[in-house]
Amino acid sequence: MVQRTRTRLSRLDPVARIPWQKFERLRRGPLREGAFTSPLHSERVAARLGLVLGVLFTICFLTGLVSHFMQHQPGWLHWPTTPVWLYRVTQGLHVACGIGTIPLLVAKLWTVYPRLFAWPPARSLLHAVERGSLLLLVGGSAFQLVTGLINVARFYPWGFFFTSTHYWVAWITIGALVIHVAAKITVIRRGLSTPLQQDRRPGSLSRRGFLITAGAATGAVTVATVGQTVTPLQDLAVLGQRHADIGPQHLPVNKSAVEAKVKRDPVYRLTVDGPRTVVLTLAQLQAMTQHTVTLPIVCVEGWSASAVWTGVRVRDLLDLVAAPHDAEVEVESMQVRGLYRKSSLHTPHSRDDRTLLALRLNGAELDLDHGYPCRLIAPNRPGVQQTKWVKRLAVS
Amino acid sequence: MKTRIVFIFLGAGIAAYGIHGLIGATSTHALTSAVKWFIGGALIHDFVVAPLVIVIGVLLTRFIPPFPRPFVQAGLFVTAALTLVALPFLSGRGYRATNPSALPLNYGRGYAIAVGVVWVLTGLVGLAAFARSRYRAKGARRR
Repeated sequence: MVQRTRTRLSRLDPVARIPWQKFERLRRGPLREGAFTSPLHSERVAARLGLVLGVLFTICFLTGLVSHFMQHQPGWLHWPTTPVWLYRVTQGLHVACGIGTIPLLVAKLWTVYPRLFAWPPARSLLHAVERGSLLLLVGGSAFQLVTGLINVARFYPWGFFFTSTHYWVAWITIGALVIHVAAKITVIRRGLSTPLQQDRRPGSLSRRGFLITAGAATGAVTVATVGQTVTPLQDLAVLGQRHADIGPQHLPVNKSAVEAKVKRDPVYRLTVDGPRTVVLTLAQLQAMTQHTVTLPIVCVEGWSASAVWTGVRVRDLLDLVAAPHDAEVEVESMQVRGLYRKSSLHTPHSRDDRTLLALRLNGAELDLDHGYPCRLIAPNRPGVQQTKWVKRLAVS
Repeated sequence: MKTRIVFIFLGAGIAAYGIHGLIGATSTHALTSAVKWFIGGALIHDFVVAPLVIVIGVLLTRFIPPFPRPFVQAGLFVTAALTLVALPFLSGRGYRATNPSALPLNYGRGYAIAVGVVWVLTGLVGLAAFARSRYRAKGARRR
């Protein structure tokens, strides 16, 4: 029965009817049988590399979702304020796993390279679809790693908006990865359960040596960059995008005042709009009860640095205007243009004791580049949402 | 087999969601650029990078004696990985004088140090392997 259905299906399948034997003379160069002789082109190596890549891609995907939904917070999501280092870890992992994946992906593509020239090119429609999905997987993986890395280096040689494109291509890549694992599961199992074996040909890397080399390359690029997140290792991070001590008041800046076109305002006022409206001068803000917290600035680009902030609790300001407890607060900057001139503060962040409008940083008046006269600093929140040069809090 | 088919459709659904979202989120101009980078990555790997690696492999076989060759291959691979990661920083294209705390390091110097360390370590591992093989050969002769 099954056999008959299959035969009938294959009669309907235009790909299965292609008479590949007639095209035998096209099999030249890499398409020849046995064109690739290295024992490294082996499913044992591919399965092992693939397993690690699968884990790293999953970490990147999940931590990427965390970052996405923190910045586009749906109503049902209440992102916690504790532990304060949670986003530092998830976003640090996102970037570190992405960078560490680069050598492994190169190694994996090298291992399976002969499969690109497999003959016949497609045995059936399903086989053709499966091979086609590899374009999505390879294209998507390369896209995510390359654009992610270049974006971290603050350079945008493309015509698309990085953030949303990186987000959507992540879905494409993960979907293609699910297809790939499902289609290859038998090969993966066989590859993983077969020992690498002695395949040592004098004068070339063994399979084991190749895997060790790929791991060493991941180690090398990790050591050269991870100090941007794991600050004790920062002096090793020769390719780090930031150094936690370099910047005004020994703290890096993502957007300087010059870039945001913000100047010192001698008649600065903070407006707090709620059921009541209160307008405060800088002196009045300084006269309110001051609190000091140690919180990190965590950039979506993966770097982070801890600092000591002193200022007024946002909840005290909300109480001044009798804002409802669960009110959402819009924090608006003096910056006139830019995607990140406003941010939304939800509960529990808006009511957390550690959420401040900071006036001081590391014991001194806030530098203009850090948001003078005052900036938002809240626990467990991406840096782009720690609005600088705050001029208005609006309760909705 | 059934589970596999289910997962293949699940994966296709996820990928279709991404494609749909991508098309909806961007202008035609931005989409064209994204598609170029998407396809370009795969094509450049398959038809430039991989053949180049094969050529380098052939050159190594021709010009490097068999003993240190695996170590040279390994050292080159790690160097290539470091180079890929360093390139956007080395290009200096992201640096802005208006924000000196972003990309604050001397990346040329850092890259040179990293590559230097890689080759020193590769050399040491190679020497250790050489010493071990000599030692083994001696032991075999004594027996």
